[in-house]
Amino acid sequence: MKLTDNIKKIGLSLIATIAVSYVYAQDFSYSSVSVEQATFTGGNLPIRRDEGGTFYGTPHWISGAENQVPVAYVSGSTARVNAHFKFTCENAPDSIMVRGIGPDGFDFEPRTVAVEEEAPGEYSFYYPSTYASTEFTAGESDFYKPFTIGWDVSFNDGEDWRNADSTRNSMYVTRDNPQSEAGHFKWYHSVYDISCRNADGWSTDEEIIAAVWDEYTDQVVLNYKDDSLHYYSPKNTYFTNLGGLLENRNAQCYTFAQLFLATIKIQGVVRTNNYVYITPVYSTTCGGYSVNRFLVKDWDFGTPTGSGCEAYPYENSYTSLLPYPYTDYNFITADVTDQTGIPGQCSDNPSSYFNNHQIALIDGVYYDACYGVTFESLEDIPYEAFDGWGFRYTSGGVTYARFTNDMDATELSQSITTF
Amino acid sequence: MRFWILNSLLFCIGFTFGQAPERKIIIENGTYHYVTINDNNQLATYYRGATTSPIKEGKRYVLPVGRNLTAHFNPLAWDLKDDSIVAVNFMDHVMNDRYEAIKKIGLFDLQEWNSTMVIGELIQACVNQPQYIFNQPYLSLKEKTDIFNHFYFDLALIGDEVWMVMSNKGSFRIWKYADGEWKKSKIYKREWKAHFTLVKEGNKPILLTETGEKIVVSLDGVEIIQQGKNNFELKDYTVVIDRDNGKNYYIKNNFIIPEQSITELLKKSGSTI
Repeated sequence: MKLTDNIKKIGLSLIATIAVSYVYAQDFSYSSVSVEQATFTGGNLPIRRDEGGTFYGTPHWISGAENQVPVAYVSGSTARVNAHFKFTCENAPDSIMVRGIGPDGFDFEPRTVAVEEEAPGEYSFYYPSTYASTEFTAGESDFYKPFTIGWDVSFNDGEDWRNADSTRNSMYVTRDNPQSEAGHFKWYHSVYDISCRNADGWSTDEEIIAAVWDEYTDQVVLNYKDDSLHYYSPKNTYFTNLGGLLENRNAQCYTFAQLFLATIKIQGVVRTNNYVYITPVYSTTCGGYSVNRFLVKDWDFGTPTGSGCEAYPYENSYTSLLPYPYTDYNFITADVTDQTGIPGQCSDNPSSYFNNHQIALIDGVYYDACYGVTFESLEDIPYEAFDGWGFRYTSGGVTYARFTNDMDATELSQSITTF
Repeated sequence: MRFWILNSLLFCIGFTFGQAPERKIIIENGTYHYVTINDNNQLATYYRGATTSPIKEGKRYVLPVGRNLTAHFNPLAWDLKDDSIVAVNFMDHVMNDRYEAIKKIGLFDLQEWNSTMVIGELIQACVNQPQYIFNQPYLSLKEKTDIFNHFYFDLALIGDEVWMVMSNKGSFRIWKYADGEWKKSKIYKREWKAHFTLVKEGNKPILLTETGEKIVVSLDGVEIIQQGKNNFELKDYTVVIDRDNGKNYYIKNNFIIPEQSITELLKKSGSTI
């Protein structure tokens, strides 16, 4: 081949390249492509808002929204997503190629999609519902916060790809199908978040239970916004169900037991007879009063001043036990005084004068999620966690509480139900 | 403090006619009485009005009792006699004693709901209510088992007697409180799938089961006097006890329209039990 022929060929090729470039990208700016909204489909699980308990809707991603909607799947399933895009351009092509690049190889294949003119110089295109290239590992919980999909576009049939925009959603993958909602167990956002955040990568029941329990052991439980969930801080909370805890972020002991059990039920872990209501075993003392109060550590027992009941010699009296600002007990007289003792969840000195308490029971171990501690037996609880037993009566508008620090004076009974 | 007050106000505003009556509506002397529960805070509201006036015109009072919400749902156990309500306060609260849960509350001591009420204080008042009679049925069950599964109960007032039926784990027992003491039946075997309701019919306690059976209960025995119905679930119905005419009815919960009177509702949608 002659040199002149080669020069001619190079010249023609150059002209062709310039022409192609002119057709595909003459006045186009990649930065103008944006995802307007994206929706996950393909069997994703419903999620309730912590705030109010209603279910999130779709789309999951909305451009510019302050809070994007979380997404959840069961392991072994495959995420599927569609997305609406828009861009500005003076002279747009009829079609364009789009793909999504997710984390850990969760990619969404290139699709050629039609470009629609919305207004002069304004165009849109729709990436149809497309499965990810791989499924979530079967039998394993997973967690992405966020699950970012980088969206690429190509104007030359996939030869060159340019990043256009990205979508970011919290992605929760449960090991198995969550257990059905019943009673106060509902599929709240923070239930997914706490569970999958801790159980990420774990498979067996035992692994998941242990991993989820880790959330509670440092006495800091955080919701999906990383806000603290408080146990009696302040002490006057009346919320006793899971929804109340998640919405108000301060609640009684019922709710932390429910939260712990909910965070394993959402993974499909099945344990019946798991919710334990403990209270002093029914007994009477000193004139027939029912021994129905106990003090959780720490309480300081001073000089007893009570009369007429030697077995319960310490006496406190009160009319309004927890006045504003609801941080300290308000006794008129007090032989026994509350001290900073066992910390509760996000609470240095929670309420500690009770008739009853709620804990979880799983595989023979008692989990007290309020304090992040476990017990091997019911009998151990008073000796490890209580400072005293008591009863109370009212006279002349004043309540008199009588106490003993003899931990052998009575014992706990339990009522076990399935949460 | 502001949050606390706002929260309380929101709860008060939340009391509407959207909640179904707990088990039943009682008609007596041309007046209807029923109770609802707010499932968020567990507090009871007692409603009273003329049977010929729209339900929405009835007055709403704070009833200082409540109930929890469990997977095996048991509505508030309550009944009315003279000017008092007797109810079982199974509210979840760390200071609420289940052995002391049976309360008697005078109707004319009740306060009408208003926007200044503080929910936390009302709940504390529930917990502080003195017991009416000791909850021996619960203690006896508790002494037999730690496991509670399909645990349901209800009570009915017949003359000066308090009747209770309590079920758990495939059995139930009948209790009667009279002359200062509780007496009990033997334990009967039966699998329960949902709650039942105990009513008075001709001075006898009658158990209305989840499938619509009628069972006469006594300390000496039980007798099924009406079989269950196809496609009937008690949870979908409110029992209307018309003491003025000596009849009991079922009315479907979604037929209870606040704009109509109880009389109209019964005429249109009531079916005799």
